[in-house]
Amino acid sequence: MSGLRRRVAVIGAGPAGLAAAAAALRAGAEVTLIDAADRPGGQYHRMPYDADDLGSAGGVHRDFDRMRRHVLGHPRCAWWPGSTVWSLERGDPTVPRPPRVHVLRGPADGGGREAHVLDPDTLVLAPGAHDRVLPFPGWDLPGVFTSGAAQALAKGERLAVGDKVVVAGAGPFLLPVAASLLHAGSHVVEVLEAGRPAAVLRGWTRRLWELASQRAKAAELASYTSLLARHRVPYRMGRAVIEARGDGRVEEVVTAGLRPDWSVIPGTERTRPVDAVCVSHGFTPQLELPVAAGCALRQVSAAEVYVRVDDDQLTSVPRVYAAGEITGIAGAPAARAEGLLAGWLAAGGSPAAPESHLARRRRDQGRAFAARLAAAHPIGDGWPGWLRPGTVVCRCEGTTYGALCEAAGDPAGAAARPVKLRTRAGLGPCQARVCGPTVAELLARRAAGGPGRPETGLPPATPHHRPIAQPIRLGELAALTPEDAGPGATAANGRASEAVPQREGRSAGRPDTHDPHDDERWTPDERR
Amino acid sequence: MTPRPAPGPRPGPPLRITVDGEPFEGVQGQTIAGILLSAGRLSWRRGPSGAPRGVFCGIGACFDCLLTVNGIPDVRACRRRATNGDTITTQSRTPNQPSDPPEPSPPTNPSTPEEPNGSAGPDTPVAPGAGGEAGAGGPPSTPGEPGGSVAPATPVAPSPGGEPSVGGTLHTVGEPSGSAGPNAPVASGAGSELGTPGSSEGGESDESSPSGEDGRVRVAERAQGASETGKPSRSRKAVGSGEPDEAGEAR
Repeated sequence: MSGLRRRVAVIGAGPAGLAAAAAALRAGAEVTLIDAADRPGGQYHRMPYDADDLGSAGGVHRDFDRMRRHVLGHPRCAWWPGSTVWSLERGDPTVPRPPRVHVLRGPADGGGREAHVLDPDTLVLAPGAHDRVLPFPGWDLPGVFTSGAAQALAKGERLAVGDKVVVAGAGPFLLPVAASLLHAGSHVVEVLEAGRPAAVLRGWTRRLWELASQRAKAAELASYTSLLARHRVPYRMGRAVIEARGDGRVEEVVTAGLRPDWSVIPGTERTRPVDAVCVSHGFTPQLELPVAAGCALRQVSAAEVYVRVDDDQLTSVPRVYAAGEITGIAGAPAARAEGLLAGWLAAGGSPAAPESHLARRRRDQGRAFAARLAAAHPIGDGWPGWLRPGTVVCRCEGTTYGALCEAAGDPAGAAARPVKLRTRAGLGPCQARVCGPTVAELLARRAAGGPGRPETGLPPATPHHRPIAQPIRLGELAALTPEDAGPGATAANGRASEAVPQREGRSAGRPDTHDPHDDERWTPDERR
Repeated sequence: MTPRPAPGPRPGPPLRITVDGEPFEGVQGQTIAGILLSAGRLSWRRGPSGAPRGVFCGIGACFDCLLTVNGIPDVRACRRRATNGDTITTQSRTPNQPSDPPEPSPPTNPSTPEEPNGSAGPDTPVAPGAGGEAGAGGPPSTPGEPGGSVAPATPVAPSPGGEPSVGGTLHTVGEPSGSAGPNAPVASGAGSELGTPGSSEGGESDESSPSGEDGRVRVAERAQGASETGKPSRSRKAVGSGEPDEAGEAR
């Protein structure tokens, strides 16, 4: 590759992906930045549909805005909004090339989107995560939202999901969600943190010196708590929403006090009228692309699986890097640092360069902070006690807890695969994105055959294998032409070819030292 | 009433969409889910048990909010930005039951207009949302096909050249057509996806994925939709290879 610019494809334009793009540009690469949304930001820096920037939204978002403008305006960056990666195609295993990237561009889930194929030199995966929500009776009633949904609707659509809202679950993410709801004009009845005060405080206060490196994040969290205080929103620890009730939509919730293992303390139940509930118990990484690329995973528990990366964010697949929440839920600052490192190295930057050291340090600080938060907000083992036999576990297929238990109790087929085939849990439209971790955990507890136990002749089960990562339509499949499969080829029209960074045809090899924007090039907030 | 728009400016050109014939006003840039929620509509779809579904995850992961947009089924309302004049119908997975409360007037328009080539169902989704749903009230969103001529039991033979015979393509999807040629990604990837349930668990090995099984499972999903409308379920046996017919034991 000497003398030629590396072509780096970055999938996902949230904090990690955008940082990866910025760093890869700084290292001299040609970058294609791909995201399903219309604008960069991911979930964390989501912009209102009618706004041009995040300028009014505070420090971290302002910094992101600057990086966004820099990256999107960069002559070596091709920005592909509204672009869905539906397949990663692995080639000859003896050739160290990243998989080929199959992209559809056009309206979400629409027919007739343009098909494109990218053949990058290196690939950075930064698809992010979505909420993990533990089931409880009534959680499938309309009006029960994930916290991420409430956040996305408030930020992106300027929409309050309800007038009287309870926010419940575990983890620091409940705070910004409550803040967004308040900004959107909702009355937040209360915020319920399932963790007991002792555990939360112990987690937050141990190794206090680590907080020093995470001042921005700590300040952000502090601003949320003070906002809650100003609005007199109670923040109750050791309580949870254990049931939602209503006729066709949520009308009230039952909350209860929890023991440290999250089992319900009898007699503490309380009923509250609400018109919306926002729940989140953590996050689930979006692993379909890394799995499709063949990346090895790191199993933390039955329900928690991440992409395994080395100290340089490299996955087990040559030239495929991973950054952000798919390597471990660690929040935006860590994601940004991982993205910087991944993008820099993916573009051929030196692992020994100051940029690498800085990014590694920031990443490790971010991860330490995240580990502290994770320690403060573990998921208790007793939550299945909230469930009843009729409680829906798989929202798509309507599979109940009772049906799952029955299937898991059958010695003939207690392993993950037979249980799923029998109950259809995880086989619906969402392809186990929502219930996958829950089902895996419940089955693991039934002991009869933990998740991942190989069944004869078949690879171990994981709920993350979705070779078609996103829906594609028959017509779009049909429209793929032989040329689409060619290196760097694009379909539908020729327009895309100019967006695809070409190996030749651009001035090669000269480092960007004269770019007037150079010092903004790395990442604006690194200079503070 | 909830949910409702937050206070604040709301620039942008106004637009109008219809959902099962009922008009809704919105603004350029809003998602379909955003418009429906703003109007106080919390649910618009029904699951297999008849339970109402609306927005849950809000970011495209849960597929609860699917609806049919201009004849194209299984569009995520939370991800799709509305455009003026969108004609939307609601969907249901409840067997033998029409979709959401405001009962859609049986499928008049939806399908045809969008068909690029009336032949086969080009808009049939191949991935997650795929065959699972019967769109509002019937024919148009029959999983197989909006266009009306689904190439129902078209042989499952892989279309080697990858020529876009749509019917063939569908099957190509379920077929292990190797990894050469244009169809490769589709074949291996799609095949496994279709079968996400069984084989796909593997995590590794696209090419080795027994797409026969995949196809089978996928087909099972289709079958339920298909049976609703009396369409032949696609090539169930053709695809399945010695696997238990999942459609049968599906639930």
